[in-house]
Amino acid sequence: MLDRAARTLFDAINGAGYTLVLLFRTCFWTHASWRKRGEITYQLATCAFGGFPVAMIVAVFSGMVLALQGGISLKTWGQEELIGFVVPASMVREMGPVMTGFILAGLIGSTMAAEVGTMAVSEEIEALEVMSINPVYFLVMPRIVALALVAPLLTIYVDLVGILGGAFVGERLLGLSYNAYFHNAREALDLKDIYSGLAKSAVFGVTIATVGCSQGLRARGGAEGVGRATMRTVVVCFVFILIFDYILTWMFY
Amino acid sequence: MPDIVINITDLNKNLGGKQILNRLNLQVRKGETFVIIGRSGSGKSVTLKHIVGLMRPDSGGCFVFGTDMARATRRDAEAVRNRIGYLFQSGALLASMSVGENVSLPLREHESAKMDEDAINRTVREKLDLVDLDKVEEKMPGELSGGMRKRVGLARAIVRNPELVLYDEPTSGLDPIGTAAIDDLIISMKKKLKVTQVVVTHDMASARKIADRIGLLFDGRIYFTGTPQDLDETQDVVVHQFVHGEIAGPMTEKSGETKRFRKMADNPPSSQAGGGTRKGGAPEKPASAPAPQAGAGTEPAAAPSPASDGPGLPTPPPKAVDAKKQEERQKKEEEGEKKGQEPA
Ligand SMILES: Nc1ncnc2c1ncn2[C@@H]1O[C@H](COP(=O)(O)OP(=O)(O)OP(=O)(O)O)[C@@H](O)[C@H]1O
Ligand SMILES: [Mg+2]
Repeated sequence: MLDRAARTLFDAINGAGYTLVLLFRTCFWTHASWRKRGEITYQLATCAFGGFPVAMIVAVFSGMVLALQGGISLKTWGQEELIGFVVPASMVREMGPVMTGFILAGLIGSTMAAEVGTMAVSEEIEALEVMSINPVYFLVMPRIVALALVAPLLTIYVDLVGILGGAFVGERLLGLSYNAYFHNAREALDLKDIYSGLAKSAVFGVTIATVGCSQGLRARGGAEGVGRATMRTVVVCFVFILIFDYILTWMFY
Repeated sequence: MPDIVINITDLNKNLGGKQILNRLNLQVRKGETFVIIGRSGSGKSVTLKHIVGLMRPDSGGCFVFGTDMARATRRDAEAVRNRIGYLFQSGALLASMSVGENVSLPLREHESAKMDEDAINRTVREKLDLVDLDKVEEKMPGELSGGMRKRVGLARAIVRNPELVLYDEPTSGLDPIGTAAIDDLIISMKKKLKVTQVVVTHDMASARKIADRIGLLFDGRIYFTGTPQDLDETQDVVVHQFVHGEIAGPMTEKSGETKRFRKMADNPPSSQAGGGTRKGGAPEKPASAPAPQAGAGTEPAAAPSPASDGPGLPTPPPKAVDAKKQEERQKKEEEGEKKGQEPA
């Protein structure tokens, strides 16, 4: 029992170390981004098209539920027009980046772990090594760069759709005019909210791709190992998105 | 020794708690075709992976073109790998790329400065032609048969005209014609291009055809080295058993895995090779077993003392191979069963 706990802890530390080293090695290879632009573009497109439909649904409902909950609470004091402040501010600062992170972890992070993991268990990674093609350069770097770019883009989209969802609920259920809502929204947001949110999402994007690739590269033992890598990626990403979110919020404000 | 391409000295490797390679020594000379044979799971693929540095030994040296792959930096290892072609047992094609992209990948990644698109395509077609494939460039690996995948892997291995090619079972899964084509390819690589080659195979016929020297991997070492002729003439019981594919013998004395093999062979359905000498014991019952060491001690020197692996230097030639074997076999059977039960 204790033995197993110790082992799990050891594996976790080991994995964290591996993931960090992988990230450093990727940083070293980013200079080759231009040479790998084809692959990066392909990854960009895959991530974006994979993410957009789900993101839309998640975003619109997050905005709506924020507006609804906020509206119900604020109505007690007759302050429901304040949702024009509440919804955009919480979308842009918190909900947007974190929701996007969760979506990307579930959709793209797991896909990356499965892809890279399948390559690892079927000797494809070894084949790259034998051909003197560095897997970090060939597989990992394009994925991390792509997701670091896609995550902020998707966050902007989620923010916008969420704010619109809030406006819709405000108008329909709380009797707020769109004008008043967007007037408040402009008041509520300053530049810092926007860039801190985007910075957060970029960090989440890098985290997700790095964890996915790291789990994938370490997958062993056939299909089962790939499944485990995929599952671990999602769990680890969720946890670290929340941890990093806290740390970054604390740093920015 | 400038004409030694591969020089493995006292290489040890433990994998998953098992000593897979045990003081393995192997020298391959420039321009020769060295064939490695050995039982499934004896560590042939592991040996090849050490040569390209995909695995690092626990101890010992593995010099390839003078670079010790056991201790080489990534950069040095890559410099050596650039001179090596490697055919994986599974083919190891990149599933996300078409056949053409797979074969051209080493060129595009390394020689793109020197070659234009036309030259690359021409080379790819030429290599696919060599392995007897055409009109497959556009196909994805998933659409190919196992044998075709292997041949694409082979085309990719030789696309940069390496000086040393390592083949992990190039002909397994191929039909006789395909096998002959690959054998011819290996022979012509040697004759025309003077390429050094190491071939792992189970196919004794093609081993005899292509090999300058054959090495038998057994017990974690190269147990026997010699020309195909040496292999046929040796009196060594281990080599004899392997080459003739006999179920009983010193080779099947060791692991638990072998025991399963033997049990299968014991069961009547497939009793072919002299299965008459057996008394139908109940192998599952825990017989009153003495300590395995004691049992092994009383064994009358069945295992041939496997000394050096000098070319064609067989150990005590047991003349009457067959008669003796029958005896040994019975004895070992009993011991094997006891040993197997011990840990339970
Ligand atoms: N990565 C690994 N981790 C643990 N054990 C391994 C690993 N790779 C190989 N082994 C073990 O090493 C032994 C030798 O494996 P290897 O693949 O070299 O066999 P082989 O001689 O090539 O057999 P075959 O002819 O079936 O291909 C096997 O028992 C295998 O279980
Ligand atoms: Mg093998």
